[in-house]
Amino acid sequence: MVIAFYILGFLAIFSAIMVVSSERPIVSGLYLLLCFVAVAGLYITLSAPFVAAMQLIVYSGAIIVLILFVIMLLNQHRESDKKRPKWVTALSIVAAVLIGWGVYFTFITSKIVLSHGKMSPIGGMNGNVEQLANVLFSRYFIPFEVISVLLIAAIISAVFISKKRV
Amino acid sequence: MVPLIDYLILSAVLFTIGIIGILIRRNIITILMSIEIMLNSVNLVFVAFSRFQGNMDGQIVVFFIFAVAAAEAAVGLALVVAWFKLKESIQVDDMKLLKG
Repeated sequence: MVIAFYILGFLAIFSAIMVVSSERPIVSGLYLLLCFVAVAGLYITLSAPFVAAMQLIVYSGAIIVLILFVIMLLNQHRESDKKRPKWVTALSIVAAVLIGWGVYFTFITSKIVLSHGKMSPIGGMNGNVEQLANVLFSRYFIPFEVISVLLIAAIISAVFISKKRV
Repeated sequence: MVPLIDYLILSAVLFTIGIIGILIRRNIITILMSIEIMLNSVNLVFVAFSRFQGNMDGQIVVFFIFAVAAAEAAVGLALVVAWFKLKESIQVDDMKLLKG
């Protein structure tokens, strides 16, 4: 389990860095697929098989296909000629690392993290879907139905925005 | 057994990489991909806390975040296509119509 965590974590970080640093969008899209699959493996190590399957279907199935489709449709493989100044990029990286350090500092100083050293005995791999369904269709039933309204609004707006008249 | 703090540190690193991508790239499709990386890191935190506390609610929230991410990708890419039809460009430095 520990070895799987470190391999998948290294894979996720490496592919995320390649997504950000690659010059061509199509290469970024394929590394993003690798990143999603690595995160799905991390969900398996957390014994959440339903979330891992959803990750593979929704992210690495639907969203990656949508992104690659738009990249190939627009066919913009070159970067623009005019570059930003170097110091803007350096300042952006410094600001981003400061924000990330803020997140890291919040995690390592919170008491709730220290009080959970090992995984809880309940909520294992067995019966994960049943437990999830019990919670989803009792306490979270109204939000679950509202999700369908959100999705139909997204469908209508996507069709309307990409019509001929801009 | 991997402790909780390792999952949180991994998630913070992924979140930082996503912010760096949003700030330094000029291609709007790569910026959308960085947003997806950031949403993934937040999902990892939810599932990790759900597992270590023995509480299923975190995985339900991840389920909702999946739906929101799918809607965001669909609408965002539709906006990119509409903008490309208008200006023949997907660079964010060209997006300054509201600047006057």
